[in-house]
Amino acid sequence: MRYIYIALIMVLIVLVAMLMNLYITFNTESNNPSSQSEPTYHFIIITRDNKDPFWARFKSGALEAGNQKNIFVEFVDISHKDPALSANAIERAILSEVDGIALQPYDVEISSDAVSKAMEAGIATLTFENDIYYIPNVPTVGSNSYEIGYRAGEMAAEASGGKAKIAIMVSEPGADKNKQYNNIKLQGLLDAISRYPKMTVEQIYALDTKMFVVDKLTMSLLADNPEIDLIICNDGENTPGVAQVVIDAGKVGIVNIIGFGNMPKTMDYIEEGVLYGTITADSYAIGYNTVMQLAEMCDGKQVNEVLNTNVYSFTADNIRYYREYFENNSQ
Amino acid sequence: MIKIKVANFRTKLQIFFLLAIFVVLLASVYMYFSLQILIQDTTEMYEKTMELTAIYKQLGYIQNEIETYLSTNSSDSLIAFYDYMNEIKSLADRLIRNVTYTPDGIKSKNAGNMILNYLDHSEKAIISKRGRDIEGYTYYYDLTVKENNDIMSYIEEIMSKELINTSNSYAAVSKRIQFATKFNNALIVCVIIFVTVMILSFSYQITKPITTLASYAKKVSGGDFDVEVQSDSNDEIGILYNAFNLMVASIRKYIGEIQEKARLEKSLNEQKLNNLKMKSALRESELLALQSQINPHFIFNTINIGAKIAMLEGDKKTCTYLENAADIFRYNLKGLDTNVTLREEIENVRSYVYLLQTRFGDSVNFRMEFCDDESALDIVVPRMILQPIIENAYIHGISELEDGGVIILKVESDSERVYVYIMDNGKGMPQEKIEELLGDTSDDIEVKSVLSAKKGHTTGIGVDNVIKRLRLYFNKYDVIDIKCEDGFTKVIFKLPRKKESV
Repeated sequence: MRYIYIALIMVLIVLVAMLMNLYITFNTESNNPSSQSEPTYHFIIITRDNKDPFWARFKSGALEAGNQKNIFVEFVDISHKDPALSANAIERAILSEVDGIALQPYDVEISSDAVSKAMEAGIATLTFENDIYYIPNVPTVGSNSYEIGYRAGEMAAEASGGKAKIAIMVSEPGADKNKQYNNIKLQGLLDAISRYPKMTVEQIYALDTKMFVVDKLTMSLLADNPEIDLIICNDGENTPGVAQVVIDAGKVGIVNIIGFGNMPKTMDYIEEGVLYGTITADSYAIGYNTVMQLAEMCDGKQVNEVLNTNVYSFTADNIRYYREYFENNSQ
Repeated sequence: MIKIKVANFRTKLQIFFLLAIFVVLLASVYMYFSLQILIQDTTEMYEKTMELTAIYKQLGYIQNEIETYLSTNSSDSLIAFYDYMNEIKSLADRLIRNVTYTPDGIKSKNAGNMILNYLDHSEKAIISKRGRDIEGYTYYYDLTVKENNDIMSYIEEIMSKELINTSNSYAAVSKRIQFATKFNNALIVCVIIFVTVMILSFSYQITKPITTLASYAKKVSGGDFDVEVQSDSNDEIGILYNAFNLMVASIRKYIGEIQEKARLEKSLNEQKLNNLKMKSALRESELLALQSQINPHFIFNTINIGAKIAMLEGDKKTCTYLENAADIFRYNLKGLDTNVTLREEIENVRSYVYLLQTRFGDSVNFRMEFCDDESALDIVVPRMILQPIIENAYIHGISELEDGGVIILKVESDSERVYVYIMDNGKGMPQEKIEELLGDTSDDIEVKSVLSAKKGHTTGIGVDNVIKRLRLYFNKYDVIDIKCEDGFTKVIFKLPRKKESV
């Protein structure tokens, strides 16, 4: 008799547990676990939707800061570096009555206009990873372009032992405004190289946004300038392409490559010895500080006009640190 | 081990039924809620799309109405504008109110705010038109056109994303529906089987003690009172079992008492019967004695005087003869209801044999043999048990022998009994007669036996009377035996040293 009661009670307990589980699951789903409570601020950050790890780490840093400050961070991805797309996103953000906007401007005129509207609407606005398109009175967060260039020059000297004939590839040099950026970066690079008398810059090439341009350019560079034994590519997205052409041309070990950014393939090539090294920005810190700066602006606090973040150099010697500390997006 | 002690039979039933009902109820509630959740999930999946679709349509209509009003000043358009504006505003408010702070959820709030801004600018365009502010309404009109397009494309983006999400969600929900359907079917089957098994087990368990009790009651009704039912429960069944056990014990006790009473009554009756038989035998003996001796005191006195005369005359032989005869008479006169020692009985036999030997001369050869145990002669026996047997041995045994015969009286003993053998080498006794004497003691036989005795030669007491008295006295059956072997007829007295109490 006793066992019958025990069996019934146990089945009852199981059924109650099932009901509780159903209730909890239902509540959890209703509340949406990924949904946060009423945030203090709502920020929109205009980002890119490509696979560059820069953006993944940037978003990770921004979200971490958002979690810390109870700020909802919304990323509006645009497909390419088009100031009109960026301006449209800003206009939408203004109409959406957000509290803060952050963007990486791709021009000065359109972006300045859009940013002005946002500021007129009382929305905190800043730029990040930008020292190309200077927008007055708008704070910026990011790495220092001169430092990037200088570090690349240092790494080139290290790679070549202070003696090299160098070809430099810079991104988007065609537009007038871009020259400012490239000039800063290039200036840093040239300043560093100038310290080594046996290192000479033979060619400076421009890369535009078209696909496979880098392949053709690198191929012709290698064919037309057999004396070139060091290539410095200061564009993160194009660095793996340059390396691939060098491999195809059978010049690995003959032509050293200094790249930029931390695309997965770039890091693989460093491990394989195709690339000597790369200079990369700390995108996690950029994302984190972008949100923090916006939050302070919303709180009415004064923020610095420029907040520089760290720049990292990775070669075969220290790539394991990248694997250990950077790939998991942690700070 | 969990111990559930339910004292009350009714409580047991109530708890069982409540538990069983709760099991079924909870299973049903579970199924109901799981289906409700799925229905809600499915509804929610399309709810947002439906809301956005409604807004999307309204935005198209309101923009037309703005254009119509701005170009025609139509009051109908104005009314329609405000109608749409109110509807869209409430929908936009709802979007903002129901915001979820997720990458997709926040877009609803964005859209809501964008719509509210758009409506504000639209109203300003209308107001400017009514105020004939051409610059104002053209500015705001351009703004609304841009914003309307922007909002609609934004809503399209949201709906497109929502559609993708819905497709993914639908696949997940569809899987969940399938799983929930299978799970619920399995659950209801399991619960039905479980509850059925529980009901069967419970009904068996609950009726088992009653069935057991019924079988025991049947045994008791059949006369078997050695049953005892065991129960460790405290409920009514336990009480019933205890009551049953007490009842059976009581019945058993009463029946035992009745049986004991019956046995005692039977024993008492037997004793009464024995007493009656003893009295009857004594009376019979006395009657016979009286019949044969009309005035024994007179005869005794006469013989005694004769003995004195013979002694005075110097006739010692006659004197001894008469003294012995007088002793026999005196012994007989004391009555059969008094007991004597075996020694006295033997002395009486000695006197009697003297008379016989004097009368019949050498034809009677009498011999006595005793064991060393003197105490054997001190046991108490009924009077007149040996003399009738000696007499019988002479009359029916050796009297008819021409050369005379031998009568031997022999006494032996052991720890339990004293054995007295009276043996004669006479003509013997038929086996039928022996069996008749030893076996049947009915009154008819007694009378027959007694009557068959030759009155002229005997003291009047038959062998069967002796046997009867011995058996009654010692309250044992095997106190005498008669055998014919080795040319001797042996009457063996097996006299217990201790008399058996009745």
